[in-house]
Amino acid sequence: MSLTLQVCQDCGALQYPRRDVCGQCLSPNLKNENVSAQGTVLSWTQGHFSVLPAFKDKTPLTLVRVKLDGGAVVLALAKGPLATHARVLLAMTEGLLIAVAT
Amino acid sequence: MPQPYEGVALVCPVTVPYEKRSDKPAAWWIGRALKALIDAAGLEKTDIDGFAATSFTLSPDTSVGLIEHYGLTPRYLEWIPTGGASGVMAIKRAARAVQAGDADIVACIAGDTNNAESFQGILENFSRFSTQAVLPYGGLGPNGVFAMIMRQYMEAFGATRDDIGRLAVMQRANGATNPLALLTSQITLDDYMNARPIAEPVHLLDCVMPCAGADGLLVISIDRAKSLGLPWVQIDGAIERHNAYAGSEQILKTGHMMDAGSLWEQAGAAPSEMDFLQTYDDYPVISMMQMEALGFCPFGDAKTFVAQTDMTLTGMLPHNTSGGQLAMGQAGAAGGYLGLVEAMRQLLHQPLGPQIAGATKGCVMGYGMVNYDRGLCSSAAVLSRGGTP
Repeated sequence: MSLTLQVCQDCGALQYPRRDVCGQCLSPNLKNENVSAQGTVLSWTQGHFSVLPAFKDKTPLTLVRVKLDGGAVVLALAKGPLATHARVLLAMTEGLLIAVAT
Repeated sequence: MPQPYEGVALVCPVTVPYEKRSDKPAAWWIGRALKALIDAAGLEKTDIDGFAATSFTLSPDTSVGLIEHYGLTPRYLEWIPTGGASGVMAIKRAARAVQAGDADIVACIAGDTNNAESFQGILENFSRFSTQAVLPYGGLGPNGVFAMIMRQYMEAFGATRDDIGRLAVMQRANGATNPLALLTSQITLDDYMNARPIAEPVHLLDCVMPCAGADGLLVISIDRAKSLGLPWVQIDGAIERHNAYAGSEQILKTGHMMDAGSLWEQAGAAPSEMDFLQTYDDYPVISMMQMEALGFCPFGDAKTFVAQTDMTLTGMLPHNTSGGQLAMGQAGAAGGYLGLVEAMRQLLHQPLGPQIAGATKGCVMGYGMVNYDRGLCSSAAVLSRGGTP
């Protein structure tokens, strides 16, 4: 499984959130690449209130903070319960990163 | 070490009493604070030749729009869009302007309105990274990000909700003495533990209540304070740091930790000498991280420090003595001034509620701007009681 994220073509740094220039070396030479979709949960929360109409009837929902094996830190919605240190696989579904335990 | 802030006076802390909701725009709140400053100092509006403003709900305006609105013609103008870190940043900048002669009288103000529309606007347009990579993920608002910081803190240091709740209980006890607080009831640890979950482990009594309000002060020279007959507070040391530990996954050290040594060296003081501490309290766990970052206790051990230290108004280290945002409410970016004006009031011996006995020196901290997954901006100052004319 792979994930498509921005990678700096000059220094190789993975970018997240998306940038216009590299957050490490300031190069504008960023391209979408397939990167490892694996990561480790750093922290998580179960949220009971959403300000977005699309989520109002979908609470409680689990939000996770994940360190990708490639280096970047992403926030993702969790499918199923997850705990800190869990190994997860991320997939982009309808524009959102979704984390599933591996 | 930076140049000392000698010759600079902070005077006239003002608060436009907070209201839970307001149909008045931010410019009304900031304008009321400006008038209160002019009245408190006995000045004419034309005497104000420096202006620094902070707000989250002023869009599309900034301090530029405000000076035309108020008919000011300053020769020094600042816009400090850093929320929780803004108060200390404003006095740092204004102090340098006064020392250099770029301005004589700088009005520093933060203010915001609060209504359903303004609140939604802040959430939806807070930052590009947030709009893109935080908000769409369930729309939990700041609670979601802070909940993940709180859980990481609890798991890293073995802290429990009880450990964190003790701080909230002491702070709300302080708030009960503040006539301007919106939440004046005291809470028990049971109340804290039994509060409803918002974004676990954040529960209701970890959260600040959004409201409308404004806070401000004047930065002038000590000579001017004497000629105006105004008692003053002085800056013994001040720091700020932004995007500390960039690119690191760690979020438990606030930026203050990078500059703690510099702050205490410049101030010629140690944490143990502080008569009070005002932290930026948008969740009690964030206050605990700040205590650790400036060395009030070891990193990771605020739970012991909070358990063993009476932080109420008569305690060993009075903390957030106005009740902070947990009791007063969070008037948007004015939350970044709340600790500063309270510190000034205690040092001027002009408290809103009870006076901390013999307060002559204290520390105020700022923290804020969750651009993505943590607060990017940190600031802190050591202030001391100046003189009276």
